[in-house]
Amino acid sequence: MGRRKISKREFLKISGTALAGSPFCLFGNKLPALAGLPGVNRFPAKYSISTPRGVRCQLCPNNCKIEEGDRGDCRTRINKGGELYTLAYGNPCAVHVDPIEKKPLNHFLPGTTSFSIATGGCNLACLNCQNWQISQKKPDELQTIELMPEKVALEAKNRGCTSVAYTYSEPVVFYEYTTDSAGYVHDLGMKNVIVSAGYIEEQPLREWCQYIDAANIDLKSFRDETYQQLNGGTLEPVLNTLKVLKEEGVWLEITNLIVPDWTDDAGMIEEMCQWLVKNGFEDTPLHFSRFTPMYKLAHLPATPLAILEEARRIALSEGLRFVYIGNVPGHSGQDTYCPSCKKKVLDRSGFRIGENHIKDGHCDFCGESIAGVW
Amino acid sequence: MLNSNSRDFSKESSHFLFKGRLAVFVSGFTMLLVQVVLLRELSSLYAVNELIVGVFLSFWMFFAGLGAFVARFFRGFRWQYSGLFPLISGATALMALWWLYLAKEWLLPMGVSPGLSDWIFITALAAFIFCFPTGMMFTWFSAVLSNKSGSRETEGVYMAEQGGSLLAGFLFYLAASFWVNAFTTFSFLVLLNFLTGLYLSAPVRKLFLRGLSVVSLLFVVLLWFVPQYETAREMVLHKSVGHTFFSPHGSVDVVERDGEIDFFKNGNFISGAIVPRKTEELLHPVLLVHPSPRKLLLVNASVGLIPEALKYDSLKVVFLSSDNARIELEKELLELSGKPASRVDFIHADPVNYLEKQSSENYDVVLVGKGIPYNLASTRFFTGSFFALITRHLSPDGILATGGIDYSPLWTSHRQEILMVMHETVNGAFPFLRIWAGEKVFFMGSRQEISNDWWQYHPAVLTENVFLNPDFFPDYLLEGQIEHVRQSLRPNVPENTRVRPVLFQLALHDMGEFWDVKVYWFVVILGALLVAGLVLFRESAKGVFMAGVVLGGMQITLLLFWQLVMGDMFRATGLLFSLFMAGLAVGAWLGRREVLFFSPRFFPALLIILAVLSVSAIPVLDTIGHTWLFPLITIGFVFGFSFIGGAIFVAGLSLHPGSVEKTASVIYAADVAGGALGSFLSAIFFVPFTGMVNTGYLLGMAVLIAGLLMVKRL
Repeated sequence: MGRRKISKREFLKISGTALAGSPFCLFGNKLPALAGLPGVNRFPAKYSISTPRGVRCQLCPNNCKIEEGDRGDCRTRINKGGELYTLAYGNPCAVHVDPIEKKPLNHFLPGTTSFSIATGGCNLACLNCQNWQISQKKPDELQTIELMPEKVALEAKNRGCTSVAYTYSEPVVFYEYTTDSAGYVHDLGMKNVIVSAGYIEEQPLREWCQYIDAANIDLKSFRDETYQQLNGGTLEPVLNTLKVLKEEGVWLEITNLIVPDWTDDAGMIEEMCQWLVKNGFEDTPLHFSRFTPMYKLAHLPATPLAILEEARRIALSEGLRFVYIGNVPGHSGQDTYCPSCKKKVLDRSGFRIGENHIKDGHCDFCGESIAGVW
Repeated sequence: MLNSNSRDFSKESSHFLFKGRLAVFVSGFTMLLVQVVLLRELSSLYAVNELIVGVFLSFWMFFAGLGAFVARFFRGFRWQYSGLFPLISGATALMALWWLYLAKEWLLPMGVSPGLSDWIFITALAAFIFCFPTGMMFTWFSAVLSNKSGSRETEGVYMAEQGGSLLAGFLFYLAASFWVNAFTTFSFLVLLNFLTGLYLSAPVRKLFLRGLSVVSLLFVVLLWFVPQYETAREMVLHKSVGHTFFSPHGSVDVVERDGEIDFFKNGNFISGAIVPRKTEELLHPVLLVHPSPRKLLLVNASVGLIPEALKYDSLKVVFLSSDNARIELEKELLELSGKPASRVDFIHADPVNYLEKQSSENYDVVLVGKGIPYNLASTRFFTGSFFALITRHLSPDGILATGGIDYSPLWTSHRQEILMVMHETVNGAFPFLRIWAGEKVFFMGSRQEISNDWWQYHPAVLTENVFLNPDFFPDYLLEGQIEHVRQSLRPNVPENTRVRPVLFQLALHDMGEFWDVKVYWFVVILGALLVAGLVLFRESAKGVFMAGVVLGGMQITLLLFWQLVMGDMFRATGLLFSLFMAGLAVGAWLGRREVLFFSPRFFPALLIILAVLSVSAIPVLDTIGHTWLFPLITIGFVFGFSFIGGAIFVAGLSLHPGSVEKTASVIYAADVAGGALGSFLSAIFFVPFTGMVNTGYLLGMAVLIAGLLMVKRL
């Protein structure tokens, strides 16, 4: 093969290109790879039906129609070969021991700790999500650890926890993982807790109730329009979830996050409280939680304390017996008061329990029954 | 359109020349002020960081260039319409400002923060509203004055515009501390332009038009007294604004809401009267582990720490900030708290420069906030060199506390990397580190090991603080969280430095997690445009295009580096922009007269000089970063780039084949398109992803190749 002479211009082009490429070697100095690679466990998903146009997921009210290779809105359920699988199984991205008060559950084994786990994904898309880094991600986009259901129970036991909480993101999207873990958790004498938006279909919910001992359901608003705009969901299924949990005898507490301009309307709060009372939730603790600017709602202020206090006043006057103010450290609205004698029966200082005047589920002062699991 | 046979240069034409140049001078003055004020308002209203400068400048150049280009197609260029242009210019400035507010209300209702696509769209439209018609002015007056005088008046018009810009740039720099709100400034500009328009149209002979002029003038004057700022702010905040503290760094709005006071800094909620309690966590752990803190320095700290610090008997607090709005806010909060101000010193100075000059002051505790540095203004306080500077001002048992990221049981990889870089950077200056991981995570650096119990000292203060009370924060929880953070840290990560702000890059990644548009798509599109430019432009236009890319990119890079060193970029922007534009004019003048190497013959050499300047600028400026030479050498580089840029433009004109009109439009298009692309690419991609030095290197290499390819004979 003869040697071909290159012109000066060609030489310049080649050397110029090489020079231009050289800065890429300066981009080194990268951060070391983080420990733990994204882990994905494909596991058959429950509650789906095959249709000629793909699989329809029937776990939550989104009822996603999922074509081959696609995922549902939750990012965790995938159609492979006409079968629905969950990618959120045994691969939590968050594992932590929290006080039960942090869920928040104020009437469920106060002062105990809960082994808390979550996987990536969520079936809602709240603009104010405080865990958006995991809830708005696919499980395989996150750093995870392998923690199969039996191990969940063992880890919780080893860390001295009384319960396992399925929390942080949305346990509905790792439904199969929660139900499988829950069995082992019960076997070791611990309780199962879900912290959820309650956006789930009735049939899977009824099955869930067989495993769950306590739930905190986030009732995000009492207007369907707000639910759609702020959270990407609808109100009715959540109200149904509350009714079913009550019917099934699961210990229930409700959280209502008051977001300025979105969910701070006193009329709406009053309407919500009236509905709760009408449907027999008088003894269900209601937590009015304070919003702090977050995620896509960074241009709003935190909820004024006055609005939280007004909401609490409305709820109490409508007949709810246990109403709390959350996310305001040191506020007296964190304590439990006897609905009969109005005395403080359980003092809370942040996550620590102070004086406790509840004996066998009754007020120490007047003997009134205090609903809860004590 | 140019009628070279019209008339001799007469007294009448000199009168028109003066009027026309004055109008363009006012236009230059208006453009520069509108540019810097809109830029400031954009960052203030949408809480975007300094990279907006590149994006905004890019659209600015593009639409101004487009306006100038489109104006070619006007017919007649008759003087009697000249008075309309200042009117349009003044009115569109105010319209662009209102657009920013209306867009926030329409496109981002109910406190929703803007995504990348939102602020690019909003920025583009704001730039278009003002720049497109105002850009036409240049072409219009060049043509109309040339028609009047019978000779080419383009250079004179250009000089007049640059003169106006230069004056505005200096005025803005000098008067920035007397910051008035954008609406007041723009109302003044409307008035100024209205008067200019009247002057151009004078004498107005018809009675009806005279009446209309007087009524309009009254309306414009009245505009000044209308509370536009309050109306606009209330529209986006949905509540009444009590008052606003302004500074060149931004604004703090004090908003009354349901009987409580909220503070918004640059559009973002920062504090309510009851929230500062939460910030106590940033302060107390470090003061609780120091046995006897006597002097505390707060740098770039969160809101409301001062009243908390005053709970420690005999502790003296120094609040150091270059942002006067923040100082005023802290004073107000202190007053609201009812705590005595006698133990607090407020120092209005740039912290880096202040600490460098001070040699005698020693502090027991220095707190450098806050959270993730999403902008360069904060990043500069997270560098190894700044922490090294802090060590000089700490007593032997002194402690530095910095960080303040929200604790989460679920770190994303970016958050984890941010923690690692922060840890490494603090560790570079302090051998002993201790981690706090409560609601927030931060690092405490010291020269002696701190092994004291968290709750060991100052029990009286502890009982006052519910947020830190051991009852509230049980040890088991604290220890678990600290262990979690410790396990998340890895060795051998890069330190955050000025020329390679890794932390800022990671912060952008973190911010990008919830943006609806991926930056990579922009880069692909812009990369394609870059390639298209290189393919479409021929001959010398290719070189001018590449020079435009480099000039646009380096202008932004120099500004951002100025921010890292001096910390007052928004104040300096106008000055540096106007100097750059003036430099371009001088370069063009030198090129036209072929002074020294400013000649078409040395076109490739000019490109190669540009490459050398690009590669060397940031390393040189970094070495003199903390000396009095920095501003001078930066201005030197600004002139260097702009002189060469102006000369390249003229050389490109001379070397390009074809008719005068065609050459002018092609070269102008190449220059503007290159500049717009360069500033956009540098702001959105090169600087955030490769750092400052590599940006200069990449741009330099690109123009070097262009220069080498244009060497005809080696």
